[in-house]
Amino acid sequence: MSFHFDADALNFKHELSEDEIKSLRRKYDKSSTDNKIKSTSGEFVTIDYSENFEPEIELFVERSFYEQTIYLSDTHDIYDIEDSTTTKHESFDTDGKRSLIA
Amino acid sequence: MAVIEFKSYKVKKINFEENISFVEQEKIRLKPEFHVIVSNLEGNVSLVGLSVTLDVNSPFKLEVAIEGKFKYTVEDDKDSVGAEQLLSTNAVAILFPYLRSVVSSVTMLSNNMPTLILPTMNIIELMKKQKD
Repeated sequence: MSFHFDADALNFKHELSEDEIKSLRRKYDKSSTDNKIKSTSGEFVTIDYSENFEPEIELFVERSFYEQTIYLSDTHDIYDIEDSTTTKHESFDTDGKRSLIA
Repeated sequence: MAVIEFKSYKVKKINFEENISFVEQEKIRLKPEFHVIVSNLEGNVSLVGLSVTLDVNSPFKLEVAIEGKFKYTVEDDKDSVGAEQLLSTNAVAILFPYLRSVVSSVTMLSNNMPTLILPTMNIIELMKKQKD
């Protein structure tokens, strides 16, 4: 099984509490002209400083990085080895004469 | 002493090439081809070659070959299993994890597809299949 991450799905909005807003105001320079500021963790943060300040923050992630298929599951869920000698297909005895598993 | 002694192994070949004509699919059905070659080096020392080839319906073409050096001690072969039998089965079983490791490393480094881990194999059945 594989999961494909769409970059759009990673742009999310998060409701901030009053304390978080105050913290953000202290953390980032309000005088920034383009209001896109790189946070200490490397993410680009957009903050709306208009009078009707919406307590929202958007995280912009490098799109190209996430535009690849990311597989999270076990390799055997993706690859199916069609070989009669794999133990997946072979029932083996325990006396060691007919089977030697590696 | 053990009846066969594993002296060393080395990688003889690693070929990896992206299969550009491969169409992405949810389940990738692979058909690896395994080959074993046992050759006597000198006296009771033998070389056992183990290789795997993947090129059918695979997102990559892969060929890995390794070679192990083994020493057979006839005095310790109490059950008279014989060098041929021990080298073509037990020695291959000893080498197989190294082959699996190389395949996993190469496919992981390709950074294109998920790491391929070769499944557990029944070496005796593998050798029978090769003889057929």
